[in-house]
Amino acid sequence: MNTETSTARAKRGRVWRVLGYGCLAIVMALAFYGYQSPDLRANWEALAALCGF
Amino acid sequence: MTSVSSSQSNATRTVVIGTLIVLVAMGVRATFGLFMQPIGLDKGWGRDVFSMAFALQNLAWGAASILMGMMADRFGAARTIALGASLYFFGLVGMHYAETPLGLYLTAGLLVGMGQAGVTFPVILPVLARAVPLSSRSTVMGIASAGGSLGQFVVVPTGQALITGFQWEGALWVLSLLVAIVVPLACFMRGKPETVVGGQSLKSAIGEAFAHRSFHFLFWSYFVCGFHTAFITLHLPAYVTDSGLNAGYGATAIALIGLFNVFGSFGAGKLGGKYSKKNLLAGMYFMRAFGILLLLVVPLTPWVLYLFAAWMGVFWLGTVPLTQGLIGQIYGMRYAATLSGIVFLGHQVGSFAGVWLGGYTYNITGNYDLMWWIGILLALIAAVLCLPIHERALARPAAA
Repeated sequence: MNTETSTARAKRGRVWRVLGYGCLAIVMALAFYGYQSPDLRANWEALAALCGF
Repeated sequence: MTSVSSSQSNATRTVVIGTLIVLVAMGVRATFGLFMQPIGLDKGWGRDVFSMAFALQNLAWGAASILMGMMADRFGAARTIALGASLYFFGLVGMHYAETPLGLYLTAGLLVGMGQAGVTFPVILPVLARAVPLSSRSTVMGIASAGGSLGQFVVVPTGQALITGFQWEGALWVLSLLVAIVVPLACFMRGKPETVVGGQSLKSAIGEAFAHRSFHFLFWSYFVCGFHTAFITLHLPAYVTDSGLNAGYGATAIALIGLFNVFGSFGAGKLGGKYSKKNLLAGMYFMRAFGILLLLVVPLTPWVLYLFAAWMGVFWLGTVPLTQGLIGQIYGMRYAATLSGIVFLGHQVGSFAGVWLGGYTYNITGNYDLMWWIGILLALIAAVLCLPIHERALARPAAA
């Protein structure tokens, strides 16, 4: 019973983890795409000039 | 059993909220460059006004990190974070209403800089480190550092979209509100180091660190970290255009630095839990030297630029969890925020030196070659400085 519960919990945890990584990957891909937008391309020098990173 | 799971859930909550705070703080700061053009056009200010404001911000951030660290160690992190977030928020609101350059210096410069000191790494990382078992400390520091890197990477295009959609005024309000959310979140970051009767005082902790050569090695290696990151971000645009590449390549390069920085920060923290932090730190500076050398010896093409950006991104802010991890490991967690603040001042002074010397050598020689070589030399010096660091906790006589 306990083993089943802990197995189910581990499985649920794995699903959430995969979902989390998936969401993170989507957010990062969107952000990368955002840097290619014409507005940001025009502004990148100003962004860098003020030590954005 | 219940108490163990409750303490685990508290630790998870602290790590998630701490990471979120750093994400917001670092992310909003990274967008400031985007406001230069629209605000400058509106108010008639040139690049010099913004450069001065942000130079002040960086110095205020470094200097106030020591005070905020002391405050966190003395009165607890929650109050410090709430104060930092409030100053940051009022700085952003003030930036909105600033009508003169002096107004911008005081708001976007001093207030925001002081605010950042209360909501970034030197204050947040010790709270997270104390919330988890020793074996997980380095990993959670890596997670929070990666959160800061993710904020820098993700909030910038979001800020640009906000400026496009709502003009700079609307965008600044949204970002200000984002920072304001940190104030209530600070309640979840309660906790200050345990005070032992007859234990070490702040003054003696600082004296002890200053008398220990490893602390100086950490300070100067962090100086080099700031030197590299500030020089590269500030002068990369000019280097790219001088080399005949157009601005589009530069934008992608910046994005690649941001993207790989997220993985590098997390990886450094994770590896720091398994391997010697000082060796990893030395390796990181050595790899930076190698990356800069690549840029110098290989003719610059878009793909060389991308490779350089990704390479430097991996070794960008990975220094944070390792440097702060070493401080906690060697000097203990009691005054970790204060000591981290002192070392962070070295980072900010290095940033200032990198930006200034980059411009100075360019004016003298007409190119950045000398500066890149200085960057390589400093990276090698930093790597050599890290190797003799004594990683073991300082032995102290037991409190009476």
